[in-house]
Amino acid sequence: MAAQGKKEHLYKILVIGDLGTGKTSIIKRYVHQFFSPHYRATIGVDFALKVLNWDNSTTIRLQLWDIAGQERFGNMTRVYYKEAVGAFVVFDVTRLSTFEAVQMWKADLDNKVLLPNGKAIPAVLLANKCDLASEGFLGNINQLDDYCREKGFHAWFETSAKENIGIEEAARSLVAKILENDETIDHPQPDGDGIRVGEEDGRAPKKTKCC
Amino acid sequence: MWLHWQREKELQIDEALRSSLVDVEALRRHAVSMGGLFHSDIRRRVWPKLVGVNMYHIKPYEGAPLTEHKDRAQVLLDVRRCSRRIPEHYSETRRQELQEKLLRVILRLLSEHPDLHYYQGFHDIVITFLLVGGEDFAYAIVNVLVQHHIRDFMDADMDRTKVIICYLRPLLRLESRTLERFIHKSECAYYFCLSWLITWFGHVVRRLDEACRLVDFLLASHPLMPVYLSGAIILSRESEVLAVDCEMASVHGLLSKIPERLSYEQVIVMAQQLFEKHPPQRLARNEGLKLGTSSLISTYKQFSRHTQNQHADHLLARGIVSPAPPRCWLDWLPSPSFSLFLRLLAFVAPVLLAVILFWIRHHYVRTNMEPTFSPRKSVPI
Repeated sequence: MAAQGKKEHLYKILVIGDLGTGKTSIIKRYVHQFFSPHYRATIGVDFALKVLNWDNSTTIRLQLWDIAGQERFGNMTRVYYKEAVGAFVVFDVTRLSTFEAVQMWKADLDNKVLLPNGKAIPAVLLANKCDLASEGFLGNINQLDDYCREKGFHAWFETSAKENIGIEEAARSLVAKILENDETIDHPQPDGDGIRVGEEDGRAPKKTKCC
Repeated sequence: MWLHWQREKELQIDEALRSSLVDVEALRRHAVSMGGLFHSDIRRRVWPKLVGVNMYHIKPYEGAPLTEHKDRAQVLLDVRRCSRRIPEHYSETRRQELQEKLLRVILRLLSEHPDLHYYQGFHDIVITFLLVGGEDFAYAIVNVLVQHHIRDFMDADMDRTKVIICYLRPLLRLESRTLERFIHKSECAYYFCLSWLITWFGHVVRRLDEACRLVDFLLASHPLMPVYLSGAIILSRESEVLAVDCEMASVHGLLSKIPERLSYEQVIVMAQQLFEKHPPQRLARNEGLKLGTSSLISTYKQFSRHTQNQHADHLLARGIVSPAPPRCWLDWLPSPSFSLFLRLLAFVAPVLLAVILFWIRHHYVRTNMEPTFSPRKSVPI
């Protein structure tokens, strides 16, 4: 049982990007500390839960929504964007077309969901499969700093689900930004910025907590 | 070693297959009933008959080179990620060969039907047929499915796929109002079963024999049967669903995963009962849906008649062609993709027009022509 007064947050995070960029692998690595080269294509939407002990007084539950990469599912997956407070946009460093699609995914995200204050939800760009970077198209990966500023990304990280590189750091960066937003945004509900552990029944948390 | 019921069933299937005009209704009953077609040897002989395919007359591919197909890159990505579906005992070389065949079959189908669009999950349907009967077998059977059973899923967009999913809600409502209300209140969209419907459960089942058992059932049933099967799976988990928090993530998280212990035989029986109790027309009425907008529903009768007149394989092997299916007057009407009303209108309109023209002409002759008739002059003799 957690200590009295411990705060618990529930945040909904979207993982989007072109098909085959490794969205499912990143989630599996992050949630189950496991990688398999045999993941199947995601059809529609998958879902995973990660519990983070952020600090001594805060527990964070992350709902990770793994959105199918094929464009034709876009119309259908809109319903899952509701109430999201953060997103990972993933591209594959070995396929230029997946990087070119990042813009489209970011615009689509901003079009489908906003924070309660009307601003875009924080998005972190993941340059995945960086273990294969020698085959990559990005000559100087640091030029992504400018790209992120221009396109409104909170940050970017080189990641590899296979080699477990960068994923924890990227998640911490996104969650820190979400917490910062959570503290500054006025919530319409008085209990909107967290609930006390012990009010929960031990199962999946109620959705009244996030934004 | 086969069990007694399997030997009995095989004898009966053999009999149905050998009669000069194949007894497709008997084959359907065997495919649906307990245990289904239970063995690849039987499936290779029966599946083509269930969809009306002559395996001795498969058109060789003569289209554009498959290496240049526009969807090749995307299909390749999905094909490479289907290794979960390949039996574990396959060697690496055999796996690669199978994936190459899968890619070829899919691209060949897309090339033959340029109006169809590839969707992620299509490969999950094709691979089951490929594993059971090889490349030509998979091509020939899925070539029928893309024109009937899964046609709606292959549109440019997913609007008609969404309509198919819409049949699920009235089905649950008619069976368990509590469960339907619970799911509705949780704001969980029914998209958790999208992959079940568009892959015929190939994406979610764990073993090939399970996938094949469901294909037995679905090939022998109405094209909306995947909806009833989904309904049966959800209803069989009613108490589990009602025990989770009534919110989207919990309900989606629970329902999107099919439990390992699920008895497919039980849900097949349940799906059939649901179909008989609440046929598609009833669900459509209940939800305000139009049956005619769906190709898979509107072409079913035509498809079903086509499967009735097939010769046995020993005749087909000698090049004897199956007799043409009996004509139905509806066949003369325009494409089944139109609603029945429009099709009937197209049939009736020319007849009506002819009647009106005839009446006008008749009327004109009586009223306008008559006064012009002069009394016959008496001819002096």
